[in-house]
Amino acid sequence: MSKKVLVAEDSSVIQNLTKKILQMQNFKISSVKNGQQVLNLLQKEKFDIILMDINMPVMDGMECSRNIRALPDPEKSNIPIIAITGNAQNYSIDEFKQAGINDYLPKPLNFDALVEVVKKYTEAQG
Amino acid sequence: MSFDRAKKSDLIQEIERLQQVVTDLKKNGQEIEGEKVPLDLMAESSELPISKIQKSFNNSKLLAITTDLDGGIQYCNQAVCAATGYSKNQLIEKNAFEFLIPKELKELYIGAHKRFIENGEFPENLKDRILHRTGRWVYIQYLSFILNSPSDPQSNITIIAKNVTQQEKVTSSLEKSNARLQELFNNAHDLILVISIDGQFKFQNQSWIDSVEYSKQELKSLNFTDLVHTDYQAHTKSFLKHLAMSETSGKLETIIVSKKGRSIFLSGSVTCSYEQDQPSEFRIIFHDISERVRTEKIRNLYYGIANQCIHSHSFEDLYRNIHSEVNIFLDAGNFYFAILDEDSFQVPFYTRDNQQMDCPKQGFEREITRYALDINKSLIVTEEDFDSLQKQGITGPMENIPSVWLCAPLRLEKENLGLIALFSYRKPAPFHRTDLDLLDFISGQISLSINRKRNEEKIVNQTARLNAIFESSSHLIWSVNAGFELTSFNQNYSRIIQKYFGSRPKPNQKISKYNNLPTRKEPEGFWKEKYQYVLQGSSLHFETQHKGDFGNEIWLDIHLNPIFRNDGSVKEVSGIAHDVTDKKRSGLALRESEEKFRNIFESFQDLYFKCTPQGNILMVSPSVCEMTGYDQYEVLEKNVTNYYLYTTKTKDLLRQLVQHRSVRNFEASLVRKDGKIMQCICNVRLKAGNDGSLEIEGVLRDITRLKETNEQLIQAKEVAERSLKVKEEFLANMSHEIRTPMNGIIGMLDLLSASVLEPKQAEYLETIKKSSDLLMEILNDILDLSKIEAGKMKLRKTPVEIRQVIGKLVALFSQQAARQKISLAYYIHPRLPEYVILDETRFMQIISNLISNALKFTGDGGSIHLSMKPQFKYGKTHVIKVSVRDTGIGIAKEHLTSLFQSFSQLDHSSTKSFGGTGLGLRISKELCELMNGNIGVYSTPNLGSTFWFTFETVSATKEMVQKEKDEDRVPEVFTDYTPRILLVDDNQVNRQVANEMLKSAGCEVELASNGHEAIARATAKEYDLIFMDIQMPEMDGVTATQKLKEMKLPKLPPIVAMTAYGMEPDRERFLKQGLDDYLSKPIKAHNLVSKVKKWVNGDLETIQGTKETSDSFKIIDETIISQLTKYSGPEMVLEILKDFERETQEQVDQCQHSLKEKDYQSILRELHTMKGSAGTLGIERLAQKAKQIEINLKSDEHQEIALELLELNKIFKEFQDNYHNILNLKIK
Repeated sequence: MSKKVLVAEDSSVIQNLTKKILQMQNFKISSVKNGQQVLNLLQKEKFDIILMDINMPVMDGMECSRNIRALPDPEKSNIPIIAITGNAQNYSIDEFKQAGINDYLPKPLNFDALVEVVKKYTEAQG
Repeated sequence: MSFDRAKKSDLIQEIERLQQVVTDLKKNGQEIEGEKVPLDLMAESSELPISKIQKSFNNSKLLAITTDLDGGIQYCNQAVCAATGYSKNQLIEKNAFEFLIPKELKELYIGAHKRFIENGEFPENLKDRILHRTGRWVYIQYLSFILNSPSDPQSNITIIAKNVTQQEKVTSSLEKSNARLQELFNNAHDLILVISIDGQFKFQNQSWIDSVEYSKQELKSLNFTDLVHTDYQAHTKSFLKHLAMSETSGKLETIIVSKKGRSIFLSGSVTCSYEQDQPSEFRIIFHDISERVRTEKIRNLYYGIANQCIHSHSFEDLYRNIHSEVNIFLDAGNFYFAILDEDSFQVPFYTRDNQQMDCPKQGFEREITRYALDINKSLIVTEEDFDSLQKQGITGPMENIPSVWLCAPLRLEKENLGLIALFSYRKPAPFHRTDLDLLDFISGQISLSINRKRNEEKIVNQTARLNAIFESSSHLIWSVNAGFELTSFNQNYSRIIQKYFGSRPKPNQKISKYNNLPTRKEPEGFWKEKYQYVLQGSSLHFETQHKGDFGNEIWLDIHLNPIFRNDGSVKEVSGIAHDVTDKKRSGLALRESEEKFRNIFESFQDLYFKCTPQGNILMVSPSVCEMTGYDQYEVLEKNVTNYYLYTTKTKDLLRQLVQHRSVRNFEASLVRKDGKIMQCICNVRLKAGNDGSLEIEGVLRDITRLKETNEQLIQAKEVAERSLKVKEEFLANMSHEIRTPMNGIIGMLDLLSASVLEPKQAEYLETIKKSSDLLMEILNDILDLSKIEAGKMKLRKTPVEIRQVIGKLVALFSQQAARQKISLAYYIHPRLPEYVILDETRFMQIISNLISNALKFTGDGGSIHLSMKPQFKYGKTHVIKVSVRDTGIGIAKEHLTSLFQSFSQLDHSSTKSFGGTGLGLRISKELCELMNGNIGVYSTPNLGSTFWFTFETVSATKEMVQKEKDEDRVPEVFTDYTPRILLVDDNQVNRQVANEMLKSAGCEVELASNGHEAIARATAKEYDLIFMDIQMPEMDGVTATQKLKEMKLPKLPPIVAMTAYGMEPDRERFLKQGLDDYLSKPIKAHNLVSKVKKWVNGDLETIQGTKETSDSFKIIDETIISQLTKYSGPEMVLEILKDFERETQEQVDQCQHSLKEKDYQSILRELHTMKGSAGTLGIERLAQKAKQIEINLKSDEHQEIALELLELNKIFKEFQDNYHNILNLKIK
C-alpha cells in the first residue's frame, strides 16, 4: 500500500511539482496551501509524512508544526515533518527542531534529495 | 747406339781374308795331295829299287830323304835342300837326328824312328818340325816311310814328307787370328752365335750372353727358338728352315726375350754352313737394333706430338691427343697433366685406366705433383719412395699409392709449365728408368706443343681482336705500299669508296682516282703526294673536306703513318680516317656559344667568381672592377678571403656548402678597393671542376642600396606599427572608459522609462534608448575588433551541443522576429555531429550578427532561414557550413566585396537608416578565420541574401559536454581590465590557492593574513574587491568588515565573505553583518572568478550591477530539466513550467501592484516564493534576480526597487520567450 504524503506548499508550482514527482514514486499525495489546511486535513486523515513549506500565509510551517506535535493522537502528532524552505527567516536547525520539524530540504528543491528524504522517513516508520 | 763401324768392318775383312787364305790353303793341300800319286806310286813300288824312288822324287816338291837306320843321310832330293837351306852335299852323310831335328825333339824322333823300324808303326799325318839352316823351323808332314829292307842292316829308310811350314804358318796365324776373333767377338757389340740346325747353341759371344742374360751353362739347355719372342717365333723358324734348304745366307729380324723378359730387337745375317752337302750349322751375326727401334718409335712419338699440336683445336684436345700418343708407346692408362697456374697448379687432363676424369681433389696425385713441381726434375717414385716422402713429412699423407709414379717436368727455356705424370698399380712396377728417359725426352716436345698452342690461341685472339678493331671501328683504315697499291682496307673504307665511285676497291689495286677517299682537289695526285711524303718516314695528320650527297660539307680527319719494318725501312703507309663533320660543326657552334656566353659574362652586372675550396680565385667576371674597384687580373690567383669581412657566419658558409652543396641568399660584406664595405647577397655552390677537383662558384649582387632602403622600410614599419598600437590601445581604453558611463546612462533611461511619462516623452526616451543601445553595441564591437587586431582574441573552446546552441540563438531572436512578423526557422542537418567543440560565445556572436543583419534588412512578412550542414571532414576535423538566408533587400554586386571591411556599412549613406556599427561582419570574418573558416555572401538585390560561413571543429561526446558543465570552468581571463583584489585569509595554503586562481584569471592580487592587515591595506589603497575570510585570529572577517564600513571610505570595494559554513542561513547572516557577498569553502576557481566577474566586471560604480547577473545565469538550467524529466516525463515538465509561468506572472503583477502601495513586505514574500520555485525548476536567471531584489529589500534598500522589478519583468519575459524552445531542444 502506498504511503500517503501531505504537501503543504504555498506555491502551486512547487506543490504540483512535488506532487508529480512523488506520484511517480508511487506515493499518494494530498496537498494544501497553508498550515491551517494541514491541521484541518489531519482531523480527517492520517498521513505518513508531511512536507511543509515554512513561509506560508494564514499559518506558517513553524506554527503548524508545533500544532501538529501538540495533537492528542500520537499517530498524528508523530508524523514526520520535513521542512521545504528558502529559509527567508533564517531559522537555524535548532529552531526547526524545537518546532518539531524532523528534517529540512532547502529551496531550490533538489528532486533527488526530495525523493530520498521522503523515502527515508516513510520507510523508517514501516 | 755407339757402334764402332770401322772396327767392325775391319774385322769382317780380316775374317774374310782369312777364310780366303784357308780356302786357298785347302786348294794347295789338295794339289799337294794330288801329288799323292808318287805316294801311291811309292806304295806300289815298294818293291822298286830305292834309286828309282829317289829318282822319281828328284823334281818333286815333296821332301824325300833317305837315311840309314841310325839316321845317317844317304839321299835327299832338291826339295829337301830347298826346305832346309842346305845343299845336297852338305846333307849327305850327316846324321839327320843331329843335323835337322831340333834337340828337344831328337829323342822323340829317335824313338819313333826305332818304333817304325822295329814295329812298322807309322804315325799317320805326323807333323813335325825340322831345323832350317838358319835355325828356324820348317814344318813337315810325314807322308810315307819306306823301309827298304827291314832285314838288311844296311837297309835304309826313305821318308817322304811334305813341307808344310807355309801351311803351319797360316794355321798358326789362323789360330792366333781365331783367338783374336774370339776376343773380337766377345768384345763386339754384335751378337755372334753359331747354332746347330736344330737350334742348339754351339757358339755365342759375350755380347749375346750379356744381352740374353742367360749364362753359358743355361744356354746349353736352351734352344735358340726358345728365346725368340712368341710373336716372332713362327717367322724365325720358317726363315731358318728356308735358309737351310736354299743354301744361302739371309737377313733376319727378330725379337729375343731376355731372361728378365726384356725384348731385344735384333737384325743380322744368318749363314748356313754345310758339311757333306748337309746343312750343319747356322752362323748368325745379330745387331741389337732395340735402340734404333726405340729411337724410331720415339721419333714417331715426337713427330706425333708435334703433329698433335697442329691438329688439336683446343687444349683439351691437345692433352687428349698427347695422351693417345704416349699411350702407344707406354702403358699410360693412368696419366695426367699438371699445369702451373700462378703459385698453384691445375690438372686439366687426367685419366685413370684410360678413362678421362677429374683429378681427385684429395688424391696422392696432388701431393706428389706439388712435390715434383718443387723439385722440378724428372722423377720416378716407387712405393718405398712414397712411404719415405710421407714419413719425412716432405709431402702430406697419401693414400692409394701406386706401385710406381713418374713424371717429367714441362719446361720451356726457363719457364716451368708444369709436368706430365703417369703411374701404375701393377706389380712388379712396369716402368723403368728408360721410360722416365722417354718421358723426359718427349716432355720438351710437349712443352713446345703446349706453348705453341698457347701462342696460337694468343695469336688467334690477338688476330680476332685486331680484326675486330680493324673492322668494327667507325674509322676508315687502309694501307698502301711503295708501289701505290692498296694492300689492305677495312669495310668502312670499302663502303665509302663504293659509295663515291660505284665499285669496291680490290686488294693490291693500284691507287687511282677511283679508290681513294674523295677530296676537294683531284684525289689521285693529292694522295700520291701524301703517301710519297709519308714513305720518307714521317707521319701526317690533316683534314680533308668534300661535298656529301646533299652538297653538304663532309670533314674527314686523316692520319697517315709509315709502317716501319724491322730494318727501319718504310715500304707501306697506313691510313686512318674519321668523319669529324659533327665535331667540326659542334666546334663552330661551341665557338659561337662561347662567344655568346663571354658577352654575357663580360656584360654581367653582378659578380661571378670561381675559386678553389681553399679560396684561391680562379675566375672572376669583369664586373669585379666596377663593383669593387679591383681590376679583374688583380684579384685572380689571390685568396678570396682578402675581399670580404670574415665573420663566424662566413666561416659557417663553407660548412653549409659541404653539407648542402649550395647556399642561396647568403649575405656577406665585401671590402672594396677604396675600403668601403659593400653589402652583398650571394648564391654559392660547390661543383666539380673539369679535372674533377672541387670548386666553389657563386654570384654576388650588391645590395647595399637595397639594404639601406630595407632598413628604412623596417624603421618606418616599426614607427607605423608602434603608432598603430598606441592607437589601438587608446581605442580599447577609450571604449572601456566610455562603456562605464554608458552603463549609467542606459540604467537611468530604463529607470526613467519605468516612470510615468507622457507619450511624447516616452517616444523621445525610446529614441535615446535606441541610440544608447547602438552606441553600446558599437563600443563592444570596437573592443572586440581591437582585441582581434591586437591578436588578443583567443577562442575558448568547450564541448557544446549544437542543437542547444542553435536553440538559444533562435530563442534570442524569436521575439524580435515575431514583432517584425518575420518567420525565423532553422535546419540542422542530421549528419552533423551532435556535440562539437567550439567557442560557443564567439560562434553565437557570428550567427547573431548575421541574423540581426538579416532582421534589419528583411521587411514584414519575410523569412529568415538558418541552416547548418556538414561540408566535409578530414581526419577528426569537421568543416561545417552555416547559412543565414533572408528575403530582404539584397545587396548590389558592387558592394559585396566591401561588405566584410571595417565600417563598411557606415560608409553607405543609403543604408544608414538601418543602423548598426558595420563592424559586425568584419568581426564575424575575423572570428571565422580564427575558427579556420571563411565567410561569404551571395545576394540578389530585392530577392534576398545568403550569408554563410564555415568553421572547423571536432566532434565531442555527450559525456564531455556533461563533464564540462559539472567541472569548474576555466576562469575567463580578464583581458580588458585587471581587477585589483585584496585577499584576506589567515591560512597560508588557502591564501596561496586563491591567490593563484585569481592571478591566472588575470587579476592583480594583494594578500593579508588578518583583519588588522586587511584594514591597513584597504585604507591605503583602492581595490576592486575584497575576499574576506571570516574565522581569523586577532580580528575576524566580520569585525574587520564592519570596521571598514564604519570608516566610510570613499571607495570601499565590495567585501565577499569566505567561510567554511555551508548552510544557506549562514549566508544570510553574513549579509546581515555587512558583508556584500558570500562564498563557501572549499574555494573553487570558477566560483571565485565568478564573484570577481560579478562584482568587478562591467559597472564598477554600481556595485550591484544588473547586467552581470543576467549574463552569468542561465534562462533555464537544462540539468534540472533533465532531472525533472527523469522523475516525471517531458509532458509533465512542460505542464510544470506552464504552471510556473502562470504563477510567476501573477507574482510579477502582484509585485507591481505592491510597489505602488509601497508594500515591500508583500513584494518580499512574492519574490521569496518566486525565488524558490524558479530555483527549483532551474530558471536561474529569474531566481537570481528575485533573490537579489529580496536581499535589497531586506536591507531596506527600496530606492531602486522599481528598476529592479523592471529588470525582473524582463527576465521573466525572456523566460517566457524561450522556455518552449529550450524544452523542445531538450526533449528532442
